[in-house]
Amino acid sequence: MTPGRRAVLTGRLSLVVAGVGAVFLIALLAIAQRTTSALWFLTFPLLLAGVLLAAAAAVLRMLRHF
Amino acid sequence: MDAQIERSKIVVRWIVAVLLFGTVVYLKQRGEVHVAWPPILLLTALLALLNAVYGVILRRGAAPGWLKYVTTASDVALISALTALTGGTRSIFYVAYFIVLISNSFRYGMGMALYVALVYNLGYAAVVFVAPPGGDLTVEAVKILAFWGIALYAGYLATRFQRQARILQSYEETILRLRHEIAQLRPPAPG
Repeated sequence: MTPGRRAVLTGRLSLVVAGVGAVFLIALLAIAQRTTSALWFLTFPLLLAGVLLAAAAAVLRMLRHF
Repeated sequence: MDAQIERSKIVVRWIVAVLLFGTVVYLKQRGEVHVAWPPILLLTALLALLNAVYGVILRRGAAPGWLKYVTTASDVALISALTALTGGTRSIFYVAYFIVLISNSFRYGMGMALYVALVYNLGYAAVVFVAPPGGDLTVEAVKILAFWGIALYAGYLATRFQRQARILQSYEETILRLRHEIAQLRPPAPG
């Protein structure tokens, strides 16, 4: 990171985001497998956005970006 | 740029509308689609009206920023209505969603691909809610998630193509500039 610039996404935060993403993924799969109401599908965009953000944070951590 | 894209979408929309209407008529005559004429005619008239309105808006000049989002949302809404009317989750017209996705994501990029997927998610959830297939909805959930996956991939490809097009354009501009500079450096012909 450039000296003097404040980190927006720290290593610890990326870990938290990845954890939340894992929870979102489990919720997504549970809804996909169990739901009997189409209204639950309305949560998919939010859950998917969370999963993708978490995946991005996890990849950055794996690449030792921090 | 947006106005040109939206004009071409109007032409494509007329072609797709004719094809879809023809397919509905054909399948209805064969007894494979059970839908009354009034809703089909109403949907077709609505599509024609919207397309005409979009044409009038574009005739005034540059396309307003919101137009591409409205045209895309109306396309997905009309396809959702057609899908719900012609068998719900088992409708053959489900594939029409992909025309909107591919057409818009390749024209506008990743942002529009995600927007189409979002509107599709809402529209198809409404279709499943209005005409539920019965039992659990795992297959429908997989369809929605697969659509998101295809949208992300189409958006990624569109972004790559856009980047390559920009690089190519900058090369062309550089070649033109260099040609111009060489022409200025060349000494005048003797005599």
